[in-house]
Amino acid sequence: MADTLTALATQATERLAQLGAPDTKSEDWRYVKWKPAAELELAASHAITDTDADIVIVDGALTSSAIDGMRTSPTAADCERIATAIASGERADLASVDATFIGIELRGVRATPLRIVHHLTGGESALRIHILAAPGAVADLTIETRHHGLARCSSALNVVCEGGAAVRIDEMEGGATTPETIGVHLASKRLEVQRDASLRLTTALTGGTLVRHTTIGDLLDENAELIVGGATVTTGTSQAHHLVRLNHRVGKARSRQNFKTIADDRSLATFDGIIHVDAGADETDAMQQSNNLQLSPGARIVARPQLDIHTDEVIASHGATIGQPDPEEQRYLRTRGLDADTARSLIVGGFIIAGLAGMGSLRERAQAALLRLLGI
Amino acid sequence: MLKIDNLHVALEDGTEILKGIDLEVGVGEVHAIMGPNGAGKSTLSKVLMGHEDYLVTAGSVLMDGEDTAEWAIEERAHKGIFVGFQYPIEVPGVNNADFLRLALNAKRKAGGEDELSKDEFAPILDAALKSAEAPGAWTDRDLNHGFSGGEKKRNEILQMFVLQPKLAVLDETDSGLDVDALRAVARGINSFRGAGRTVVLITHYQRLLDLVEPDKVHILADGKIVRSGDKSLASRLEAEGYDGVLAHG
Ligand SMILES: Nc1ncnc2c1ncn2[C@@H]1O[C@H](COP(=O)(O)OP(=O)(O)OP(=O)(O)O)[C@@H](O)[C@H]1O
Ligand SMILES: [Mg+2]
Repeated sequence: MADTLTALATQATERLAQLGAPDTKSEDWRYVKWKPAAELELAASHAITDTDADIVIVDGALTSSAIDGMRTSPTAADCERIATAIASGERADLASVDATFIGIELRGVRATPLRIVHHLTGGESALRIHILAAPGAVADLTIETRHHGLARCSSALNVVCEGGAAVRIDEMEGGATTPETIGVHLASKRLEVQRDASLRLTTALTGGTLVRHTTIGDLLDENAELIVGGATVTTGTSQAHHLVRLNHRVGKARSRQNFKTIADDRSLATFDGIIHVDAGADETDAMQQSNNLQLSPGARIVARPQLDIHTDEVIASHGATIGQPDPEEQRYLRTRGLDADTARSLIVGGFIIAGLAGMGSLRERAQAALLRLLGI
Repeated sequence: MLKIDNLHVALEDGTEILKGIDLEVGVGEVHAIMGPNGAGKSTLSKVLMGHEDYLVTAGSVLMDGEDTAEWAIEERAHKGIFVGFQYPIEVPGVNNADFLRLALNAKRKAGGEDELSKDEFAPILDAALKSAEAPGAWTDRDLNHGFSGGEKKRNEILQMFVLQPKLAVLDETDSGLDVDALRAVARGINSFRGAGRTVVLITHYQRLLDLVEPDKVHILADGKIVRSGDKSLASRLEAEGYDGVLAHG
């Protein structure tokens, strides 16, 4: 496999060199402020001692020992997936080809969540995680990216849910750390859901110098279900971006995109999502919603919910809202005795809480972290 | 308890909606206000709660002899005014039970009482659930979020029992309730009234007034109280309609 991987890495490096630094002329990078990321002065890396997770990675290097069902070099099937990723030219994928590789195979029913923590303390790093949920597997995973110092990281996450598997992934990035310690993280996620399988990925995101999550999902067979979403908070001059492409390859599958964002100060937050339905994918059931709160006039929010539908028989809805905390809601809470500030905080907090409602074991911590960032 | 004197209310653009309301409700009494669509009933209830979109251009509202004109919305709640709204608002992400405790604590704090911990609040919530005959599962849900029309109305009654206001103005709480829910709400209002509280029921239907017998019935039409009487006024309305009753005097 080593030779295949070396070849892929060469291919990826060439592709990356060809692409050069992304600019706003590229549709997918239109809203990204690249300059602060390019000028970022990285902190020096340092060691972290963490026993708080099943898999601990520090600046892209695995520091914990292997767990059941885990491997550290890619199989032929993994290499195929990497090749597909290279073809799409997503930057985080290209940069992560010969990075630390973690493969996890999930079988049967996992009683407790599998916890993965990636600490970013400084420097440049890359990481690639492949998760394969075997037919019928049931598992909860948590993936945290904890920022300690300014770092630049590319990460690729590949999740395959085979027939009947049910996987929930709670993802949290940044959290309580202030945006000033969050450098550049380009994350690329590829999700494949097969017949009768279900995958729910909920992301709690904090803006940084440049935090960008790309999520490409394929519903490959009937009765597949893919639910992605979460809550994002950007404060200060930070930026966070979600780019989501969910592809219905066959009919009778169900997808949901439900992203909530709060932008304060002079920060920038974007959501760019597409529901794509292939010709013939009849009886698709897809929904996409982007709800945004702009807490200050200097904050910028872009929401682009889009449909790309090539068949008639579908239920597909999409929508976006950008607004301030609802004055009607605020008034209603005041009629029960809450003062105006408390009422506003509750509504803003409620927005985050609702955005992360789909999370499992990480929910309370993720909610608390985002609320703390907003001073609630 | 409540004394409304020549109350005139207009929208910001000058449109007058309430055109000289006079109404006096004594402690422990139940009054019903009926009236055609668009008469100004909900506007009156919102004005009692201090809604800023409605400007009081003349007249006064007194609570226990105190002029309410300068009271902010939350202050009115602290002083014991409660409006069960015709269209309760959904607030996603705000847990019902947490909200109820916050609301009660805000009121207690304003009254110089200690705030209650979750444990201290639990029995109060239980009692309110029982009085409102509301399912316990509602406390785990978000405030009115995803509630059906009837459930929202009943959640207002639950809030009323937690807050124990002196005056409850219930704006069409009976609309949208199924027969069992209507009876449950009526039992709730009767027990609330039994505790010496004052109630103003805004309703279109006699069926609620058969279950909660009002001391007085008023007809509000075109921004004014045009007729007041006892319970029989409601039966006449049911039989003759507004045109009939108002034409014959
Ligand atoms: N904010 C507002 N802007 C414009 N018009 C308003 C506003 N609030 C009330 N009105 C108007 O004032 C009138 C009284 O409305 P209100 O809601 O008080 O009626 P109501 O008696 O409660 O009617 P219903 O029985 O249908 O509930 C209506 O004509 C309504 O359209
Ligand atoms: Mg009304």
